[in-house]
Amino acid sequence: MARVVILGAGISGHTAATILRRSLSKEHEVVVVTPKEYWNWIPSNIWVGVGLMKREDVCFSLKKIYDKIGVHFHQAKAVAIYPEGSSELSKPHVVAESTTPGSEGQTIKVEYDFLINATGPKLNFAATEGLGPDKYTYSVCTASHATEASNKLHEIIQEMKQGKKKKIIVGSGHGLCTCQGAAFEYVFNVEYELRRHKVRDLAEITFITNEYELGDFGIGGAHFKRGGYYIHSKVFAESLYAERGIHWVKRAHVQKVEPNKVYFETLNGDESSLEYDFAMLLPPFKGHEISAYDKNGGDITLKLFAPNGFMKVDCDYSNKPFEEWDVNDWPKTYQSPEYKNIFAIGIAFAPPHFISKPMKSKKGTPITPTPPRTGMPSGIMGRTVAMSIAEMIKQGTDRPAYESPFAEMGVACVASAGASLLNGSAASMTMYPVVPNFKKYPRHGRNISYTFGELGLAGHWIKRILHHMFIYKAQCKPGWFLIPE
Amino acid sequence: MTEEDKNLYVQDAYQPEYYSLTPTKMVRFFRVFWPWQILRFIFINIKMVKMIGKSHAKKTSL
Repeated sequence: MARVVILGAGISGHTAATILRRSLSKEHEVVVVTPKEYWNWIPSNIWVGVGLMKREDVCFSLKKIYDKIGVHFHQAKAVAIYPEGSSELSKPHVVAESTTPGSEGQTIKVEYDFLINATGPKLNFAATEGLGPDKYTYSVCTASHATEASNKLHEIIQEMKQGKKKKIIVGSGHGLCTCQGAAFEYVFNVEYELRRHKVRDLAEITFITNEYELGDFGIGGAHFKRGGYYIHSKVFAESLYAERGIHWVKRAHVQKVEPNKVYFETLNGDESSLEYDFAMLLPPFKGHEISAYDKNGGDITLKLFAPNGFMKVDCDYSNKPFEEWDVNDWPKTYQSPEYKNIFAIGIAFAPPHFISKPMKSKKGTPITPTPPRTGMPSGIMGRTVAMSIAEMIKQGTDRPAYESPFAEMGVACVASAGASLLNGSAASMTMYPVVPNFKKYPRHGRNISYTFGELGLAGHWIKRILHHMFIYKAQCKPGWFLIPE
Repeated sequence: MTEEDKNLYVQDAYQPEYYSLTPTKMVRFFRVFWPWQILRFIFINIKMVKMIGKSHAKKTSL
């Protein structure tokens, strides 16, 4: 009998848990340890953030699903890993603090044969003074945050209906933010809602981003074939902002936020500020604070984790300059180099470096989008690692049987730009590979046949269908496993 | 167009937005024209499925 413990139940962790349960016989145990008792389809938080969906439309209880399929569930937050066991327990185990209502803070120890770290990001609002829902800005990173953002947005829409002008800022709340795609979607959905409420002319909307150019998205952007030219996603993105009358500030690091004012510096050293009535600024991410100890109690946290808290996997972490970056620096199997029974997937694995070129302002402030790991790659990583572990258990080996090299992974992204089945739109984009490979594709770094982007109603239909399809899949309803990640 | 409107256009010039590609009426029409969008829906889905197929797990080469 083997026990696989999965820390976290986001897109990658939940995918791994469901596939492992399906792949392994009942004598083996699959255990999920996660601090929240619900699963959230994060891509649709954008629609919660403008009031078009409720929290219940994007979240459901995990326990019911896990009870149905036979996965053990602990509502708890992992705080320490003992990969060699400890003086109290000889087997490798995880120490977690319960977050179950009524037993908060109680410590539990969960032994494992295989461990998957899928803890996702810690939202690091503290990196910027005044940032976050507890301070002065809003977020759409969780369904609860998105609900708060929606309430405030509708409050100011009501004021606009009284004839008051408002200033809205959406974007990145720090020079090292990732997931610019989410801010991109949110700003266009806000703009669409303002038009729907017939108050668009009373709003001045500004998008502030740490990208070098709009459309970088933390992956250095992409080239598409369009109208007889190869155009960069910068042209594609700028066109949409210009069309919708949204101003932009790029190459910016938000230094601090005060009530109604955002202070920022840009790569060229300028310092400036913007006034706002409503601001949705994304935080930078860091790893969850999980410690690791050897069997003698010695702290081995930095052996397992990078300094930013993300877990080291089969990457090349040597500190190379940008010019020497290689696609082979990126992971293939997501296995820890130190302990062969530990894996990290989704946002929890430590990238070897940025994908976009690192930049610093004249003052030395790093202003570069960090690598995104969106839903599709996260799901694929979850499936790959689950298949590998299932095979490792069956074969009794420590060699992963499957790989999904991150550098050979494509990404499909549908970014909503207005939610309506009749006249909504979304930017549909695919890129292959997600990490540019200039050795294989010398001119643009990507396979142009698989890299494209276009805006239209069809994209909105796809986004809407994906919402229902992935929630259906995550709820393990009949035939769920036929739906690819 | 009033003198005030003309001045608004002058103010917009030399802003970043002024240099951006913007869609014509025809492009905007086709973005929400159902028959065309149904075809695009099929095309985009085929593109995405092919790309997803290339990205999924394969047997390790280690």
